[in-house]
Parts: sequence; C-alpha cells; structure tokens
Amino acid sequence: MASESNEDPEKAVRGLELLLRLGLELHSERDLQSLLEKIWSELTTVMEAERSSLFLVDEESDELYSVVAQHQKEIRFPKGMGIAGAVAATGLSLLIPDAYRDARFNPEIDRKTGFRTRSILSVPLKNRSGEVLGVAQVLNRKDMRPFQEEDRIMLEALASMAAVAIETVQLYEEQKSATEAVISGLVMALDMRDPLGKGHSQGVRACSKALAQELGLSAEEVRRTELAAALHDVGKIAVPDRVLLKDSPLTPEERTAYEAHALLTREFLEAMEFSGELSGVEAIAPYHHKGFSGGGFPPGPPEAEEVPLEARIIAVADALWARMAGRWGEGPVPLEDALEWIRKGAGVAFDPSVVAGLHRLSPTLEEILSEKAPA
Amino acid sequence: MEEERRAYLQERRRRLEALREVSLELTSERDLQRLLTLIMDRTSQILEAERSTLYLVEDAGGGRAGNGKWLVSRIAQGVEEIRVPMDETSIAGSVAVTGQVLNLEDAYLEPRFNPSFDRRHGFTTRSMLTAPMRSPQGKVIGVTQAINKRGAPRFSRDDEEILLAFSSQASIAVENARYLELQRRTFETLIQGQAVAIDARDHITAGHTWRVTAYAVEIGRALGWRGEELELLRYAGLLHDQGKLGVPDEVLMKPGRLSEVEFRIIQSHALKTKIILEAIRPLFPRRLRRLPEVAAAHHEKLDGSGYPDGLRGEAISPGARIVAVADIFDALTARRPYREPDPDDVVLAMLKKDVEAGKLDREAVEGLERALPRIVEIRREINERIHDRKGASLLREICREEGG
Repeated sequence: MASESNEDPEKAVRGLELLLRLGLELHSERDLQSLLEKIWSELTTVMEAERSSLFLVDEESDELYSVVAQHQKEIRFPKGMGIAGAVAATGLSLLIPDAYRDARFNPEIDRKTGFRTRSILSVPLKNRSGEVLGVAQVLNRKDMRPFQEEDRIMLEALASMAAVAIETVQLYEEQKSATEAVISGLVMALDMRDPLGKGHSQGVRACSKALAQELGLSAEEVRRTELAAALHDVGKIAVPDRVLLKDSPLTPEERTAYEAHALLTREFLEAMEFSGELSGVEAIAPYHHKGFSGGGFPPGPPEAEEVPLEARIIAVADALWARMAGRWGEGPVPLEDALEWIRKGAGVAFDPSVVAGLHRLSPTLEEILSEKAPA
Repeated sequence: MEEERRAYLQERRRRLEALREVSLELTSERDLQRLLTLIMDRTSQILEAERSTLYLVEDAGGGRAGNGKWLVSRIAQGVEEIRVPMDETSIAGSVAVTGQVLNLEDAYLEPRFNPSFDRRHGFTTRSMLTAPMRSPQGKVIGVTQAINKRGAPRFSRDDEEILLAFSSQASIAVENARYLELQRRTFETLIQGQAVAIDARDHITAGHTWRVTAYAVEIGRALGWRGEELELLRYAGLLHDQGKLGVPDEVLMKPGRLSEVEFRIIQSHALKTKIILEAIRPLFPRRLRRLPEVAAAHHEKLDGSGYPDGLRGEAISPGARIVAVADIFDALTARRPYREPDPDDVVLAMLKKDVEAGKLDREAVEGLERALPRIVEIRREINERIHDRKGASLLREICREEGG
C-alpha cells in the first residue's frame, strides 16, 4: 500500500487495522472450504460491494473455477478468458469503471441472472513468490460510484493475505492426504496376505466412523476412532499364516498366537509415539477385543470399565465384519444374522449403547460397509 | 491540533503498514526454525531495539516449575538457550503468566531481572519491553522481548501496542508452522513404522529396507541428485518392499533355496507393491506422484528380463534403476543365516558385469562405486542399531532420531 497523501489517513488506518484483524482470522483456519467461504464473505463486507467472487487456478487443466459465488454453481473457464481470466494470466489487477464498455466483459451471466454489473475490480491472489493462485473479484460499489484506486489497494492487500492463508491450508491438506495414503497402503498390504480379510480394515474403519458419529462423539474423536480403526489390525503382521488362514477351529495354542496380535498392535503403535491427529490411537486400537463386562484380550489393563468408548466402537464394528466374513471353519452369514448375534452379546461382549447405535444405523449399514477407501 | 492529529495518523499508518508487511512475511515462512529467527529480526527492526529474544512455552514434563511449564528462548540472536520456569520468578515468566505487557525503563531496577546473561556476554540491558504471544484462541504460547530502545531512554506506549499486535501475528505463524511440522512428523512416523513392519515380516533380511533406502539416497547424491529428487528416492526405498507384507510366510521365511513356484510367489511382492502404490498415488502430493514408478520397478532390467512388467530401457525411471542397484547390492552383501556375505568389491564387479550385459544402469552402478566409502559407513551404523533389537524398540529409536 503506497502512501497516497490525498486520501483520508483515518480511513487508511482503519483499513489497515481491519486487515490485520482479518489476517488473524484467516490464518487460524485449517480447513480449506471454510477458509474460502470466509474469504469470500469478507470480500463483499470489506469492499462494500454488491457481489463478490473468488476463483482458484486449477494447475492441471490451466482453468479458473469459482469457489463460492452467490446463488451459483461452480463456473469453470480457461485462464485468460474474460476479466478474471485476464487477471489470472497477467497477474495484474483490473479496475473497470464501466463493465459494458470493456470488450473482455461477458454480459451473458448478467443476462441469465438479471444482475446488472456496473464496475468491476478484479485482483490476483499471489503468493510471496508471485505465483497466481486465484482471483478475487468484486462487483458494484454499494454507494453506486465506480471502484477507486484506493479500493484496488485495499483489495490487493486483502488478496495477498488470503493467498498466503490458502497456500498454508493447501499444505495442510496435502500433508493430511499423504498420511492417508500411507495408512491406506499399509492396510491394503495387510489385507493382501489374508484373502478373508480383503477390505476388512476399510470396512471396520467406515463402520466405526459412522458409529462414532451416531453416538455423538466430537469431530476430533470421530477422526481418532476412524484412524484407530484403520490401524486396529496392524499386529496381524506377526500372526503366522498357519493360524490366520486356517480353515477349521483353532487349537488353544493357535488361539494364543492369534490373540497376541492385539499386543503387537499396541507395541507397534506405542513405538510410533504419535503426535497430532494420530495421538492416542495406541490407547484405542489394541483393545478392540476386550469384553464389555470383562474378559477378552489382551490380558492385563485396562480393566473393562476403563476401555475407551472408541475401542468399544471398533469392537462392535470389527465383530460385525468378522461374523459376516466368517473364518476358521465358520461360513459367512448375512447382515441380519450378524446383527442379531451382536445384539445377543450386548452387555456381555459389547457395550449396549454402541449396539443400540449400530441398530439405528442398520438401514444404511450395507452401504457403509462397502464404502471405498479415501483414495 | 489538526496538524498534530494528521502527523499521528501518518505515523500510525506507517507502522501498521510495516506490521502488515511483516505479517505476510511471517505467515509465508513455514519452516519453524527460520520463522523464529525471522520473528527476532523483525522485532528488533520494528521496535528499533538492539536485541530481542523469543521464548516459547514448553512442557517440561516433571520440571521444577509449579505448572510444569518452561519458557525456552529458542534463538536469542546467536546466544545460548535461556530456560526459565513459567512463573512469577522471572520477567518473561510473569508476562507469560499474567498475559500483560511489561515496559521497563531500567531492567536493573526490577528485582525479577536476572543479570547473569549480561555478565556472561558483556552486554548491558537498559530498557526492556516484554509482551505475551497469544494464539488466536487466547492461549499464551510464548513471550517476545525487545531490549534497549535505540535513540530513546525507553519504549513508548505505541511500542507496547505494536509489539502486542506483532506478537499475535507472530503467534499465529508459529502455531501454523508447528501444526505443519506435526503433520509432517505423523507422515514420517507412519512411513518409517511401516518400513519396520516390512523388515519385521522378513526377518531373514533384517534392516534391508533401511539399508536400501540409505544406499539409494547416497547413490543419488553421488550422481548430483538434489532436494525433491532425493526425497522421492528416499520414500521409494522405504516403500519398495511394501508388497512383502502381503506375501505368505512359508516362502518369505524359508531359509535356503526356493523352488520355482516359491520364487514366483516371492516375485509377486513387486507386483503387490505396484498395485498398492498405484492405488494410493492420487493421495500423494504432486512431488511424490512418481513414487510407484520409482519404488515398484526395482526388479525390472534394462533388457526387459525383469519383473513384474518386463519393462525395457527408457520405460524404467532413473530412480527405479538406482533403487534396483541398491537392492541387489544389499541382497548380496548382507549377512544371511544361511550364507556369508560376498565382499563389496566382488559384488561391485558383478554389478558392472550386469551393466555390460545390458541389465543394470551404468550411471547408477558408477554412483554406487563413488558412494561406496559412505555406504560402508552407513551399513555399519544401521547394522549396529538393528542387531539384536526387536522391531518396536528399533522403531522407537529411529523415530526419536528422525522426528527430533
């Protein structure tokens, strides 16, 4: 913002204070969609405009797409087309006092919506290295005057802040998705060894997530339940094939070897010393075979009443899947029979509140269990 | 009066403008260490101070301090770490506890001031302005401190306001950089944990994944690979045998020679790695999208005689050729229960023969030869760590080392 001596310094100071406050708000967002909505809604307010649009550049197709536009579906157009397209292509702002006198303006949208565009201010969202991530655009000042030079300065300042915030959140999402990739890969590899287990971890994950939501857990708890469910059988890596893949009932010795997987899951997850959204999974995943009223495995703490709800959720989801798939000489059973079997175990093996949640979900369970991995 | 107000507004505008610039700069810096240095530099600059210090709140876990928290100066412009309990016994501590700015004209008149730092460094602290760093949720995450106002006996009321505003901008940048670091660490931990799992499954070749990863990176380095290219090689190394998690025990763990059929089954691990990595490719950041080509083609040969796809020449990525050389080198030089390792020079000569036979990449083998002294050293380090250790304790050790 260059100092222009002829404008009102009081207004400039107010504008700067507003920007700094806004910056704090934008930079606290960690979710891309809510960040974009916030930016978009601030555009009209801060700029005192009738309408605003926010476009992002799709690097793969070299197109611009509208992120949030009032009463409109996503619009897509090639970089370079129209006013926003020109801004994205050149990286330079455009201040257009009268849209209908500008050849780049496309009156088609006005015709469709009945809106009458008068003046347009369109500025690039540039990061610190000058790359254009998108375009912020406002239409018609509310006081009917065309946009001024000072408006351009303000919007550019807002846009540079928004660009940094968007880029930061994109980094988070990228990293989150990479973590998701590793979990999916690990789970796929585990399932490959065990033909009966194909899709097991993913199915248990989807069902656990739905149960956690149904039981009213917080978003953070739902996420942790989901991740713990995805990793609940990591310990099976060390269960020998002769046990895991056996097609008849297990001998006591084989059962011991099988049950050791819960401890191995614990050892494995504890060793990771997770922080962030995965922290705490080691206190959940290993206990999905603990009985609600005691018993189950692994032996030792936690006592039945200390097993976290997330683990009791995974226990139900895991048992449902296992019952449906069948193993060790028992054939697969249909969903209704598996549900009935779990109902019988309520209060003994399973937490009755989780079982109740499962029954409320039963109309959608088929769909939930066949949910695809996030890839 | 009018004139005075105008001058005031102009000055205020100038400072807010500077603050906005700095905020952009801070929020664009995603590396925590660089960010902290930047915050110190800008504090001194904006407040016209001789020196500044930044303290971050840390959980000491069983420390002496009542609340178990400490304030640790992360970087005090080239000075050693200062560590004070987060309580009223120090200036930084009390600002963190009260959340109030403290503006001192002469630090030596303040009983909580600790002059030992001045004494050690031949510095004289005079004026001192200390402000809390508040996260947007209102939590105090640290303290910024500007020392010795230049050209004035003390910091002004305006300075207090500016440092507070600056500190909240800084705190958000710090919180964001930490969040990203936490996410990266989670990703790393998972990938490394999986590598331990892969090695645990195939205990005959204990440490194979780690050695291949390290060798591949060293070969890449010797060939002048840098940055993201090396990163890709590293992850490819860590994941190259992922498919082994899905190979049956009896072949994987069979000592001695394998039958034709068993060998086929073993070979299926490369295909499994490929299937998995292809499936998760869209979730990887763009810079790692080529991972399947690099990680899953390590058994392909330039003449088309390899597996799983019998790729030929150019169809095999340069990264995969490096991982292939690293993989064979380790397979032949590692100790196995049923045979002694071959000496490095013998293996190198064999690899060169394979280059002449049109199977292995010439450059990759040359890279190995150049990196050999370093590789020998790395092998010793890795084997020392792996020897006699179970997966979990090994994993704990590795995570601690790499995660910091």
